[in-house]
Amino acid sequence: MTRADPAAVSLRALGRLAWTALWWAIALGALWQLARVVL
Amino acid sequence: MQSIPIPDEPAVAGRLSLTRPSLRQAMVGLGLVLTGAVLALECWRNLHFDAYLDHIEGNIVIGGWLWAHGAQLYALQDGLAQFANIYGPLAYLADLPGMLLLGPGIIASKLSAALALLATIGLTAFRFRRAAPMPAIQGMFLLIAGFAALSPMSFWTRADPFEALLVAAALASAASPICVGVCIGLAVNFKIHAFLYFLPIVFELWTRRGWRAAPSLIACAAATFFAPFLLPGISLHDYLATLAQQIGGRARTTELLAPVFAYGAALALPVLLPLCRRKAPAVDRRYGIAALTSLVLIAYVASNPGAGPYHFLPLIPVLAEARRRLASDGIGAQFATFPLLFFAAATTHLALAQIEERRSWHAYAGEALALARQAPPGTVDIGYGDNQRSYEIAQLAKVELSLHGYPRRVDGQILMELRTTHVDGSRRWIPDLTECRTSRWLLPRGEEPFAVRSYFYDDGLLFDDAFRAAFVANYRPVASTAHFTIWECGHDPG
Repeated sequence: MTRADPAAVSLRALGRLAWTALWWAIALGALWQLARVVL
Repeated sequence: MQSIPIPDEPAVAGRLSLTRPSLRQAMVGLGLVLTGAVLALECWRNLHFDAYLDHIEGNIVIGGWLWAHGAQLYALQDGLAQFANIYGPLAYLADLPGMLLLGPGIIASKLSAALALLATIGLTAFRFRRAAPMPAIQGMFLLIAGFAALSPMSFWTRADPFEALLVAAALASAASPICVGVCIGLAVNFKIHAFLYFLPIVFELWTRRGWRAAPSLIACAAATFFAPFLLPGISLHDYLATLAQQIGGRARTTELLAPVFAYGAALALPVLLPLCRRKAPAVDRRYGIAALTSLVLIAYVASNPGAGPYHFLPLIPVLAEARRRLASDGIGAQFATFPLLFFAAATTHLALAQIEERRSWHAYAGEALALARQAPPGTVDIGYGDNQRSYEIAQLAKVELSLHGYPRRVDGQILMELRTTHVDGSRRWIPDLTECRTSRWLLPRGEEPFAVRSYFYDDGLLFDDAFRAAFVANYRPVASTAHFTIWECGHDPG
């Protein structure tokens, strides 16, 4: 069994974090925009 | 009605604790509730204001009402469509029940479409009732968000809300070739390309039943498509001639590619992202691919001049079904519906602003009707001025007059459609002017007569020089009211 390259692992974790942050930003931004229409 | 059973699968990804939902599940639920509230508010406001948000809505309502009172739906004049657009007969007839029930009126004409939207949502929710909670919520969220993003087209008096209802009905009865066939036939009667919305349903029926389902499906679709043409005053020949004329000669442009692509991508994402995770059964993935294939085919139709992203609307129930089946647990897959809310926010903002802006327009239409009532029916029509606002008010006043015994004789909206096929439709009405067949014209006060342009297409003049010269040669202004100038025949109409 070969050990995973720590740099590749941290890069993957970073990518996952960015992906998660992007979707949270989209979801919160979209909700905010829609709420503004009626508030 | 038979329905393809929804399996009570545990759906690991969609397991929802109603007492302790995860943060992501709570966000999706919040999105569903907020979007539903916004769509309901917008639809309610539209139903409570007596004008239209689109200039074709009135044309459709007039066509149906005049047909119910003996006029031909697809009358041709010098080989050109007199008033009819490219829609099938049911598009004109669908708005009638509200007016026959409550009496002629603009608000009554909007009732059928609003009920169609409500029924589509209700039918889909009923169908999802046995599904796992989170996938069902994901499916409903896409349905409501899609309708909100494509508002006010999701409840306007044109064909689209009714087609969406027929697609939802076909989904609810997807195991029955007869029911699916009936829905396809009716939808194609609304719009000729509507069979595209049913491709995933038919594909799945084929995978389950093979070619055995084809004869009954095709027979029922054909029968229900042709049935409305058996009604008096609805000519299949004239409808096909109108269709060939207005679609056949229309050159493609790239104008609508960007909005169609943007809407197409936002609607595809909630199906595409879960599909990429490959966690759903093969049968559901095939369904998702079929739904996306339909989306691509419809994008081609939607990018034609005069069309637009609203052509995606009837596909939304199919996309919601695919979304429910493919519900997955990755954050992208879970939140993929949210981008549609940006579209929903923009369209709702615009629609609510337009409703406020147009709230006073019905007073103009009322003034026109009071002026028309000073003359015998059939002798008065609304003319056009020189800008888009007065054009849209004229279209509204034409509805008010036509619903109250003063049918339109000239319509600018059909001229816009004809212009896209390089036909000048205004010349055929010159004899009407020289013979003063309309004895009284009501034109917007202080504007140049009939100088309106084709705002929604090429910005060219709708009425050519010959028509306008004939008008000023044969009519003269005799009086003015708050918003209209009355023009009457300047010579003995012999």
